[in-house]
Amino acid sequence: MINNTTQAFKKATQERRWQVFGISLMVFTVVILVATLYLSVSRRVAESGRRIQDLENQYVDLHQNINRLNVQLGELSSVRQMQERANNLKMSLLKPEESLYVELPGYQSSADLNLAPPADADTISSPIILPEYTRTLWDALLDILQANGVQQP
Amino acid sequence: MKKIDFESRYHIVFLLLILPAVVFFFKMIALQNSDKTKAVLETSEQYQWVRETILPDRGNIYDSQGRLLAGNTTVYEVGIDLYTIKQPETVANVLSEILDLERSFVYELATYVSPETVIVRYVVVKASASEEEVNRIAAVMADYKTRTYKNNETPLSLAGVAWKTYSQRSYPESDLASNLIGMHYFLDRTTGSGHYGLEEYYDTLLKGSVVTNANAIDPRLVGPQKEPIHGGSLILTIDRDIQAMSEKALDDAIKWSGADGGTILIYNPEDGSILSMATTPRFNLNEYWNFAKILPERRPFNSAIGQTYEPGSVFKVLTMAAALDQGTITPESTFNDLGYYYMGGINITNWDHGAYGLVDMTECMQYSLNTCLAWISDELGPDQFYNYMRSYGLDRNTGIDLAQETHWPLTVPGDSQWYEVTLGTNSYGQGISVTPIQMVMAIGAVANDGKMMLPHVVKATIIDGQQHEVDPVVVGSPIKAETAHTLTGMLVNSLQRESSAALVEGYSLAGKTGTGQIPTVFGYDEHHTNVSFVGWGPAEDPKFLIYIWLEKPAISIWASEVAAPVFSDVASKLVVLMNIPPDSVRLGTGQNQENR
Repeated sequence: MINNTTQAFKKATQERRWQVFGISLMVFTVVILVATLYLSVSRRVAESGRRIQDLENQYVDLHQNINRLNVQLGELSSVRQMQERANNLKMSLLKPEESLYVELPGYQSSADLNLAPPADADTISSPIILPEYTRTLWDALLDILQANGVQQP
Repeated sequence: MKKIDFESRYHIVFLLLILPAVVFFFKMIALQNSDKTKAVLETSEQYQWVRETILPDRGNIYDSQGRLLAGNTTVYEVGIDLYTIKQPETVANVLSEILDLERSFVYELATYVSPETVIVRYVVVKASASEEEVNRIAAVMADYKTRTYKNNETPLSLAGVAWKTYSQRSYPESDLASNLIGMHYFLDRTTGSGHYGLEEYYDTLLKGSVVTNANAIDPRLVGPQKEPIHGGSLILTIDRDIQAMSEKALDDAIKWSGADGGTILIYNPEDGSILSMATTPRFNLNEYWNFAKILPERRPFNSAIGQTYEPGSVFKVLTMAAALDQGTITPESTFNDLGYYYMGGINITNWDHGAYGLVDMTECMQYSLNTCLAWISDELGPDQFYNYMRSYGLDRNTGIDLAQETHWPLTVPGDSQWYEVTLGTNSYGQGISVTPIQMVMAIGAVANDGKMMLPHVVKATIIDGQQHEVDPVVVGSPIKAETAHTLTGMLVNSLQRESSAALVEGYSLAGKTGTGQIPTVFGYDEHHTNVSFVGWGPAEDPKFLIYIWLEKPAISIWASEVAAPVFSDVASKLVVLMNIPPDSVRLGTGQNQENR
């Protein structure tokens, strides 16, 4: 079979030889191109994956850091610490008879404590990721068709 | 023999080669689809992913001003990877020294050999190491790597030592309001739950939800990670400064009076919010494992809600309110006190065994006459009396949002333990057991136009980043507003007339002492009492109600001598912390404070 192929190649014209060689080279080039593209995309995906993992780890670290600092702040401003500081500054709690009350027109005592928006607040939810990045090609085509007044299948 | 031509031989060779290929092809398909292959594929899938359980943050607890009472800090779990450890001796030496552990314990872990049934790759050396400890380990690790070793010296190595961060419950105020907050068993990371107080009552809200993520080892397979649902947070009605003040006042009072223990409750009768709840003993919540050693046996975690006692004369407020409301008596009604009142075959006497003659109802309260109150209850009748007691909520838990609340069943006519004289003794707070929180809720009706508010500790919750306010709840209206005002006026007068040690200069306060005898298996204890005081103010628009209970004080058995001065001390500090000006300023009736 190999001999037959060799014989056929030897008997072929110069033009035909170049044709076979060209086609083979083209196939080889296409394979190389596809492989390169695959490797390139894979590399980018892997890089992005690692970056996502890094960012997630950073997020967890930051979250824990915020919690830790909040507790630290709580400890530094705890009653015990504040009393110690007040004592060092020779301060003491006022007695009722020592107090002086002055009327301030228009003064309003501090409002209720709000550590978060109220439950019934109208919060405008804006998507962080634009729909262009999340919808499929099919969705996009349907949107275009709908925009042009074409009925959906 | 016929000679086989070239072409036939060629076909035979071709068939001999193609047949195994065909067999291989079909075998390959069969193998691909066999159960064993599927199992192998599934197993290999598992090795591509690492399952990681992410624990949510437990919700924070803030006081009414937004100051942190319970949060989460970062701790480090230090462990050893048994596959990569090279020098168990070095690891044991370094870790035992830095982490303050027994060297033999660390060495045992470092040389741990897995049993045949389970493969152990990682062992925990210390579950919650501090940042400083981990930094020291890292520094030693770096030093070993950069150190120059002589030719024949083996380089030191801490290979295999690893650490991981965890979120852990932390209480920055340590023992402040410990009996109210409760505790989270944080050493048990995965199943640790809240115990006692708020940590138990709101455990479901505070704990959040755990998620388990499958993390791809191959970075190309990294996908979106599920976030754990962090626990909701609580904003309390408790004011940290008022809590600290009342705890100090309680500790000072116990020290001064030689009492066994005590409770100080400060309550806003207008909406039922608890401003402070101080009890003893307290302990550092960051070392919760010590609480069993500190808490005496059979003593509840929070005596304000978990311990019943016979309150004595503070209970007269409720009897008087019932009789006034029912119209059985008026403030001007008189009672001729002969020093005893015969009821159910028994003579009820006064606390000092004295006879006070003709007295009106304000004087009855002023002199705290048992005989007078027994007469009132007799006039009111058992049905009405116990109906009022039920409407005050004394036959059930108040429903405060704290775990482990209790109550003593109310003994009523028809019960085997109820006798005719029980009505008389109940009228002045003996033979009836209540918790301080029950008394606060019931007497709160007198301070709040007859409306009884549900005591609560949580002002708002924060869930999914939104604040949900807790609305005050009216439990009932056991008495009319008019009755409440009349009785408040009577109690203001009675305090002023007796020049009580409970008074605070410049403020009109209503109040009542209570000396309660302590029942034992051999009758009432003759040497010890429970002393109480309930007071509220400013009388015309009460902003606070203070309830004080000291157990078995040593310096005196009388509430007027022990509990009343403590009330005065707490109230005088409270008006400053709550910014309540004196009557003269508030009502604009007296000298301007600016002239002082």
